[in-house]
Amino acid sequence: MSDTDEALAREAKRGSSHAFETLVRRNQSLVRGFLRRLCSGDAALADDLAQETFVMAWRRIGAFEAKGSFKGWLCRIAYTQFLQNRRSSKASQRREDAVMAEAATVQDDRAANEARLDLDRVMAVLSPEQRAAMALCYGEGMSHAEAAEALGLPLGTVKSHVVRGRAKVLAEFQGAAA
Amino acid sequence: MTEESEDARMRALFGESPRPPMGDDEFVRSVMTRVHEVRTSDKVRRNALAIGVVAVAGAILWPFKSALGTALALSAVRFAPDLPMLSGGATALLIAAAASVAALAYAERG
Repeated sequence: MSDTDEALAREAKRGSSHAFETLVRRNQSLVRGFLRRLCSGDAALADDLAQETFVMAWRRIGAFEAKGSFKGWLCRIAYTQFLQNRRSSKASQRREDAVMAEAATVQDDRAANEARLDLDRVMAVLSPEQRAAMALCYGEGMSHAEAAEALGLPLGTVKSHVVRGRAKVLAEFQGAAA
Repeated sequence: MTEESEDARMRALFGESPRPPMGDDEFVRSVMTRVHEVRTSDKVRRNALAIGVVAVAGAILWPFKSALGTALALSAVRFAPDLPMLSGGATALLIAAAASVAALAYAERG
């Protein structure tokens, strides 16, 4: 198990499904955790998208270049899957709107709903870009540069998403505590 | 609140919230089942495409089969190798075979 993800990806590129299985085992928690943050805690949708992410990764493994990190490459596919699902599924959009509306209600009625105000609900008020940047930087411990590479965004944009998202989340939590 | 303390608070918030387990065998199995399905269906699609190409090429060339047959027969007659060419080829083949056998025998002996 001393092989790096990048070395395993090279083996998977040559057609080794065993190497790919090891990659799935190592990275499934990261990808599913990241997608759960993006999907505002909807674990079933996040797991479906995570499965699609790995299938897409298998199909595109030939395009992986060992220059970048495998985790970043995988997160980029996951983020693309999330955006595609968001664009194509109006139902999912409605569900997200409902969660956002609920988060707004929580803001109005803080005392009664304080127990329900968890991180996923607060994250729902952020834009998808802010959610993705924060999930990678705070949830997965990536640097701003790694998150920028994974999301395909300029470094400055990621930094500003993180700063704005952090301010919004802390304001929500401080408001709820007041 | 400084930026560092805000960062630390955010990391704590993210750290406290639950994450999917590290070694979820069921999830890995379901992913690999999908990957094998995709692999098989890709192979079937490639084979179907190859058969289709051959079938289309056959259908296009079918009306010209007599012309193609004549052209091939004529060029085979015109460019058929003569005896010295055939004996030269046979000699080269024999030398290559003998060298291969010798190399194999040497490798077997270590």
